[in-house]
Amino acid sequence: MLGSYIEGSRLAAAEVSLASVLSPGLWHSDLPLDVSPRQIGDELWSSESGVDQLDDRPLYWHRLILSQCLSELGAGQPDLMEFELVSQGMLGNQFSGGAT
Amino acid sequence: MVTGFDPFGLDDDIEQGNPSGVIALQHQREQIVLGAGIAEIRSMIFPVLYEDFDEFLVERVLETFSDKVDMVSTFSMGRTGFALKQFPGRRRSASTRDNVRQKGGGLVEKPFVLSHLKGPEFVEFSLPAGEMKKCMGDFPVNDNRLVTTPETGEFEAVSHAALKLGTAVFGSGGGFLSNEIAYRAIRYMQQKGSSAPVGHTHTPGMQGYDQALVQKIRKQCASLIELAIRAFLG
Repeated sequence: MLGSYIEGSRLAAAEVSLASVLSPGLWHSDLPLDVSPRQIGDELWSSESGVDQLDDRPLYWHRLILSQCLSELGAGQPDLMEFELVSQGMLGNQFSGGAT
Repeated sequence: MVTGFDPFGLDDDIEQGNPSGVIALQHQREQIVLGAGIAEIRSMIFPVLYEDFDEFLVERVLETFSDKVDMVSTFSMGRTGFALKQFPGRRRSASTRDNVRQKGGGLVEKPFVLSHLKGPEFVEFSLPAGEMKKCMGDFPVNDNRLVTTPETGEFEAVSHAALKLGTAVFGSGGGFLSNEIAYRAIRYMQQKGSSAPVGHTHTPGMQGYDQALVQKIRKQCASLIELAIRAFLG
């Protein structure tokens, strides 16, 4: 589940190959120190999902980058796991209760 | 619930995308007005990692949603057209490597199954296939009933009952994680006693990333999902 060394090792190649289609800011994420990994994952999932989305790749690559950043900042395994699950829509993605 | 997968095959093409992921992202929080109410969609994207499947990620995620969903529609990237995977199989037989270059442990000659993955050799798609096949668009929507067993080889299964005695080598979804999410989702919901229909659909394939193709796929897939919802809940 956690962004592995192998997946992370492709980041340099992706940054070059995908430079024209993914936002330049994607590759160098500055994380706010007062936001939890879960919130970061939730923001990533929310920002990348939606009716107009045409490309799944920014979510994948951004998830790897953020996972690496969180790890470097000292996030523990449970926090990293939570980040991964939330940023894939698997955690906290509840129905509104308004559906009938 | 709608699910897709991460991109994979990134060592062959670092720009590879996955239409199933786009479909999941596109439908997150979508609402469809029905005669008697509103259908609300939640989506998620699964990693292409055998280890996560070995650790029952599909089941753990479904556990949180199983009593809240009326329908589970999983998607992955296939080859041509939309294919409704009628009979997913229990065993892993593809030699395809996952996103951390691991193999799944299975081969065509020796399909792999986790000893603690209990269940029948084949399960059955239960989304409203008849209505889904009426979906018009750029791609055909067809049933896929093709399975492989050591006993019979490759054949088109006419019914789930016809598979009762066979051992799964390839299910209708193949022998990779697309077959496995289909098998696991159907199996889990059945074991929970849920009456929610569950099924897996292969999208048309895509080499690298092709925005025009993605637009066509996601447009038709939106119709496909809406047709399924209206047929079951409308």
